[in-house]
Amino acid sequence: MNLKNFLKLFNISNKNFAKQVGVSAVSLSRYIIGERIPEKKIINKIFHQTNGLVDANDFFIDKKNNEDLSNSDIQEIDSILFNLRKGSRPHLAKAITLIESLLEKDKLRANLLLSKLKENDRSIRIGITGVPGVGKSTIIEALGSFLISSGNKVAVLAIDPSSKQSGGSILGDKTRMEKLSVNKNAYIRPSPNQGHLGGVAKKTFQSIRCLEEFGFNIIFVETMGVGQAETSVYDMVDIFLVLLLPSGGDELQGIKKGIIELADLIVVNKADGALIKQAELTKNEYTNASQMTSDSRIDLKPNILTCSAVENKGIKEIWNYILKFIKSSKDKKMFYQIRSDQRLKNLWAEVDLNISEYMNKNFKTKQYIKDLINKIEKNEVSLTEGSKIIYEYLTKKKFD
Amino acid sequence: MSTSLQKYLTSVRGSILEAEEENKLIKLFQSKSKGWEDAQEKIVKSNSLYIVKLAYSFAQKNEEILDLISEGNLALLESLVKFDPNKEARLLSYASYRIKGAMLAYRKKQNLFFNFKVSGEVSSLAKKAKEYILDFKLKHNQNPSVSSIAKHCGIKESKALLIAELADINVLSIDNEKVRVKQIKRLKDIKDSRDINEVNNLLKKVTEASRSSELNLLEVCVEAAKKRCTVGEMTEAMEKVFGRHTLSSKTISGVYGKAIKHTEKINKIDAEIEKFIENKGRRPRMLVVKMGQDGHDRGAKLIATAFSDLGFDVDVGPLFQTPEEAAMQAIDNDVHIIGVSTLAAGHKTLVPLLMKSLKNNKASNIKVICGGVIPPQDYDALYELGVSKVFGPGTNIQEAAIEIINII
Repeated sequence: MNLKNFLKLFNISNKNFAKQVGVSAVSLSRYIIGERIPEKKIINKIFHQTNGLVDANDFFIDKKNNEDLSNSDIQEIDSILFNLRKGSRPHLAKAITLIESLLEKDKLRANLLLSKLKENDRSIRIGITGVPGVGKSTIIEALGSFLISSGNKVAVLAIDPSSKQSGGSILGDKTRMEKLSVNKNAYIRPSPNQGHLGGVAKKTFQSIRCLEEFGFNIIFVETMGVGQAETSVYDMVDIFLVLLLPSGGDELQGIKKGIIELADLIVVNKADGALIKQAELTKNEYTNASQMTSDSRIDLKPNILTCSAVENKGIKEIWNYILKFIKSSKDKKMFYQIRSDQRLKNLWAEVDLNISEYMNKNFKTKQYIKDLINKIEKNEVSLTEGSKIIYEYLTKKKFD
Repeated sequence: MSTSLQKYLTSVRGSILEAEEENKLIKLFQSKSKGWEDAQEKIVKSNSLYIVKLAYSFAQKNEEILDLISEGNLALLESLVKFDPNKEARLLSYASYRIKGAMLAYRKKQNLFFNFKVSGEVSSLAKKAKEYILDFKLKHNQNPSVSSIAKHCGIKESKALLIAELADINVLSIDNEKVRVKQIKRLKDIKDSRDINEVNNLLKKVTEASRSSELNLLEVCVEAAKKRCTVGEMTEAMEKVFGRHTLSSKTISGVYGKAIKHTEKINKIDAEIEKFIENKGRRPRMLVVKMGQDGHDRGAKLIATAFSDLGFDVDVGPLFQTPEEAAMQAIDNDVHIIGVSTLAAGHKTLVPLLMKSLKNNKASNIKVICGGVIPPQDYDALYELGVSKVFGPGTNIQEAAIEIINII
C-alpha cells in the first residue's frame, strides 16, 4: 500500500514516522504527495519500518490507486448507513447487495461500510440445520411469527452451498415462508451462491451485522446440512439448532454424526399425527446417547426437544430454551468471549479466502508457474520438488 | 339518387382492370410492399360496379344502398387477403360468395334493427364500428375489445357492446373492478337474505364432519349450500380442522439447461452475462411474481427454471400475492427486474398497483416486464404505465433473455 494509507491506517503521525526513518517531516510529506521520490537508502528504511507493506513499487509505479475511495464513494456509504439506521429497507437491501458484489471497488466500499458498524451484543443469532425436508423453513416461520407477535424483529439468511455452479440459481425460500415473507417486521434474503463456500459464509457474516444495525434483533441463519456449511454457521451464531426427523433411533437419516456434536439444541420435528410416539422415542434415544457426546458451547449437555412446526406445538418451549441458553451464556461471561473468538475466526476465514483468490487469479496464471506445472505434468520435475519450488515462489518477496 | 351515391358511382367509372394487371396488383397488395394501398384502391374500384349492382338487388330502401356497397367492399377486401393469385380464377369469382353473404347478413341485421326500432344514426355508427372491427382484425388478427370500439367510434360502451353483439363479435373485455364490485354486492345480498342461525349451525356441522369420519362431508356441504352458506365460509369451517394448504413451489432446475444445445444464441447470452457481472458485480437478478388470484404457475415456473439455467439469479415469489407484497419482495431482494406472470386477466388492475407501490418506495429503478395471456390491445396501456416489455405466449426464451439483459 502507499505510504499515505499506511500512516492513516496505523494512526502514525508524519512527524513520528519521519523520525523513525531519519528524514525531516517536510521531506516525508513530499514523498507522500509524490513531489519527490526518496533515494534507495530511505526506501529501504521505510520498507523495514513498515514490515514490507510500503515498498519501492509504491513510490515508482503510479498505479491508479484503487485503494483510495473517492469522496463521492465515502458520501454514498455514509448516506446508505444513515438511511439504514433510520429504517429504510431499500437501503438495507442495497447494503447487502454491496457486500455480495464481486467488483473490487464494491469490496472496498463494503469494507468501509462495515468498519462503521457498531457491535450489537443484544441480538440473538440462531443457526438452524437439518436434512432437506426436515422442516427448517416451517420452524423458522412458526418461530418467527411467534417472535414478531411478541414484539421482536426477525431476519432470515440462508447459506446454501449446494446450488449448482453452472449458471444462475433459483431462490425460492420465500415460497416456503409465506406469512413471514410478507410481514413488515421480518426480512428474508435468499442469497445466490457465487462461488465456493468460504465466500458465501463471509458475506453472510457481514450481512448479519448490517441487519443488526438496521434493527433486527433476532437473526436466523439456515443451512442445508450438506458440505461443510455447518462449521461456518456454527462460528457465526450464538446457538446452533439441529433438526431431526422422528425416525427410529439408530438410523441417522443421512445426517453426519459430526453435526449432532455441534448442536447446542436438538429438536425432533414433525411430532404430530401418527408420528408422535415415534418422535418421543427418537428424543429418548438421543437423550441417552448424549451421555457420550460432547457438550454444547457453554459446557451444558445439549437439550433435546420435540415439536410440530406445522401444528405450532412446542414452539414456545424451543424459544424458552434458547432464552435460557443465552442468559446462561451471558452469566458465565462466555457470550461475549465466544463472539469475540468468532470475529477472529471469521477474520482468518477471510484471509484464507483472499489467499485462495490470489492463488487462483494471480498466482496460478503467472507464466513461470504455468511452465513449472507443464514440467511437472511431463514428469520432468517431481511432485515434491514442484511443491517446494512453488512454496519458495510464494514466500519470496514479490518482484513483479 | 343521393348525391353521395352519385359521387361514388362517378368515382368508380371506367376503372375496370384486365386479369393480368389485376393479378399483379393483388400480388403487390398481399406482399404489403411499397404501393400496396394504391393497389388496394385500384382493385376495389375495378370490382365496384358489380358490387353496386348487387347492392341494388339487396336493398329495400334507398338509404341502404351505400351501406350495402360498403359491406360489399369490406367483403371484397377480406377475400383479397385470402385470394391466391396463382390459381386460374378471377378475384371477383372468388369474392362473389363472400360479398353476397355479407349483404345477406346486412339484410338480416337490418330487419333485426328494424324490430328494435333503432334510428338511422345507429346504423351508420354500426357501419363505422364494423369497418373499424374489420380493419383491426386485418391488422392484429384478433377482435378488438368493446372499450376500444367505443373509443374509436365515440360511443358509449353499452352501445358498442350492442353493436359488437349484432356484428357477431365475441369480445370479452373484463373490467376487473366492475366484476369485483358486482360480486361483493351479490355476496352482500345473499348474506342479507338468509337465516344466520341456520347458517352458523350448519357451518359448525361442517367443521364436525371434517373431524369425524361418521358424517359425510360432501352431504353436509350440500345442505349448507342450500341454506346459502358461501364457499368461503364452508372452507373456513373446514380449515379449523384441516389447516390451510400451503403451496409448495417446487422448481426443478437443470432440465432446460440440459435440453438446449450450445448454439450461437446461448454463447451470446453467456457473453452478455459475463459482461454484466464484470460491470455490476453480480448476476442479473429477476423476481418472478404471480399476483392476485391467478393460480396458473406453470409458465412462471418454466421461466424461473429456464432463466436460472441460462445464468440468471431468479427469485420466485409465493402465489397469490398482493402488488404491495410483490414490490416489497423485489426491494428486499434488490432485484434488477420484476417479471409479472399473468394468465387471469388481472393485469389491468394489478400492474398499475405494482408500479405505484414501487414508486412509493422510491424503487422505480426496478424494471417491470409482463408475460402470459395479455390481449394485444392492452399492450399500449401497459407501456404507458412504464412496463418495459410485454411478452406474449410463444415467446422464445433465449431471445427474451437477451432482450431482458439489455433492458436492465
